Amino acid sequence: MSCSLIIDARRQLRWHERLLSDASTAILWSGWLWLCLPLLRAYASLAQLGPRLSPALPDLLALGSEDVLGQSVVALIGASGTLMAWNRLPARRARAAPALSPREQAQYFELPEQELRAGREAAVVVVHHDAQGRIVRLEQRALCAHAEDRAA
Amino acid sequence: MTAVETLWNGLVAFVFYYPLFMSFLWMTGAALFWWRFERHEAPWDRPVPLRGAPPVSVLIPCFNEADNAEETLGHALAIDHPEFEVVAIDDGSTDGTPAILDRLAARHPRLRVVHLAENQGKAMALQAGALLARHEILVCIDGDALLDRHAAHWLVRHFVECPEVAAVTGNPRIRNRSTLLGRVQVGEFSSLVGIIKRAQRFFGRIFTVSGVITAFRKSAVHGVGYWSADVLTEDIDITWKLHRAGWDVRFEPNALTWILMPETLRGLWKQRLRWAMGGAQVLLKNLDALIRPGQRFLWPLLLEMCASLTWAYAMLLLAVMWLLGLALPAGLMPDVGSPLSPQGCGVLLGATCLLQFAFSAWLDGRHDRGLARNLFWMIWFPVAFWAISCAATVAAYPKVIARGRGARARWVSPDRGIRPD
Repeated sequence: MSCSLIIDARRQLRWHERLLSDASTAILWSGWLWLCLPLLRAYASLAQLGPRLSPALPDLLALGSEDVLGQSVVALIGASGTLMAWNRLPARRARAAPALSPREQAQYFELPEQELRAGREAAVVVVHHDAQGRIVRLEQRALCAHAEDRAA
Repeated sequence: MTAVETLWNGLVAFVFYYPLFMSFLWMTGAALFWWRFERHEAPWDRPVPLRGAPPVSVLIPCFNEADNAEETLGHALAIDHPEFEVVAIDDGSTDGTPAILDRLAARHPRLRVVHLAENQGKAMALQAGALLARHEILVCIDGDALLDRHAAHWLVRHFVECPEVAAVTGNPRIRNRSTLLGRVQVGEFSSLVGIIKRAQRFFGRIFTVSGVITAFRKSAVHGVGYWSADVLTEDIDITWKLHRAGWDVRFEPNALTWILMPETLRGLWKQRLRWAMGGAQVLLKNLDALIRPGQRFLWPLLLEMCASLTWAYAMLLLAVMWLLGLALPAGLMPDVGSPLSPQGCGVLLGATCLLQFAFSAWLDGRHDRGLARNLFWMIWFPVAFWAISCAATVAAYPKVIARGRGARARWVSPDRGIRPD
């Protein structure tokens, strides 16, 4: 089902629009991979080259060092554990009462219960609000036999 | 090192480490959610039959949805559920929507139409729909969203299993994938929305249900005073109202709905600004929970919202300082590297974003085949989308404070992307 719902109208875009998005994305990838190069090279030949390849390398290597990695993992586990423990603290819980009755809803909206019940049975209803946004009237409308013709 | 330098270094470290840390925290939470809830689940398109499934009312607010109404209602009327009705709420549309709805109601006995005499906004449309709905479980979707035929089943089972559940939000999947923006959003919805919702559900509370697909227990919504008409994102607001009343709000990844998203920069900006403003309204409205011990289960969410807000403004500050440093003579400003271009640590941030997407493609790949193909476009995510989100957050708070409370929120959906000829 999902495949038929996907809309891919890329062919409707003008050629330069397609080219722009493809090329700019490819450039971003190239830029990002270029920035990664020092890291890749450093791991390949760390002993010989050291952190002279790029000014960015010391940052990256520092981030990958055992200390920082260990601290990050501890922080992650600590935060996860704290959140899970916090979520288990006693808290006020609401529970479902019997389903809401038309009477209760009619009272809340200050509408006649009969009007609400009739509205629920109707296929088409018009709802009128006042200037403050309060519902003031529910008007049943009969299904027009010629609705289809009118809409067409 | 002076105090100013210490503060400055702390700020720089926060701007870098905060998104990195949150990304790994979300991935950890999502992995744990999968392990606990999804691992042994039946396939999403072959759910195990439910005993005593309650009837549902599918509520669909429509405002000027002439282009989409028929398709949306067609899918809603085709859901696989023993007893249901579809209530289409025409929110004072000025196009052909009312006539289309009336015509369809004449054809389909399960379809009922509610016309609002004047345009009132989505929250009020949902309220009218809830009033006239016959059933206790309300499945709410947008006027351009296509409900998967099994979605109601997956949503309803939570209400059957647990009387403490007030709302269950589903898994929106993006349909339109023609432009760069569309394709990046496909990845974003998986790698952010899908992963964060899983993580939040596992660790504690969900920040927001998705307005485009959520099932509600009507009595719970009634108990908290329905959807607020004065907030720009009624879905975030109702989630917090339900949390604060002690209800459970869940995420169901198997309940799918297929949605349209903006594919122009202008449409995307309008949408993100509205989301950010809605989030700001909810944060300001619920900040008092921080001093209420009884609401401490919301503290992690509130702290995360505050940290994200601080991050956005810190990022702005660093960007301004960097630009000033370029413009002013050397030595006047602290030496700040560009926070906008990926150097050094930025490589790690980029790699983390791609890893997050790859993980989400694995998690959601069974619902959305071919998702991994979007990896090519996801390189934009750490560059463009963070900038848009950051800018939207920075712009949202002054606007919300200037707007004040009480003004009715009415909005029109942004562009829905390119449709095939």
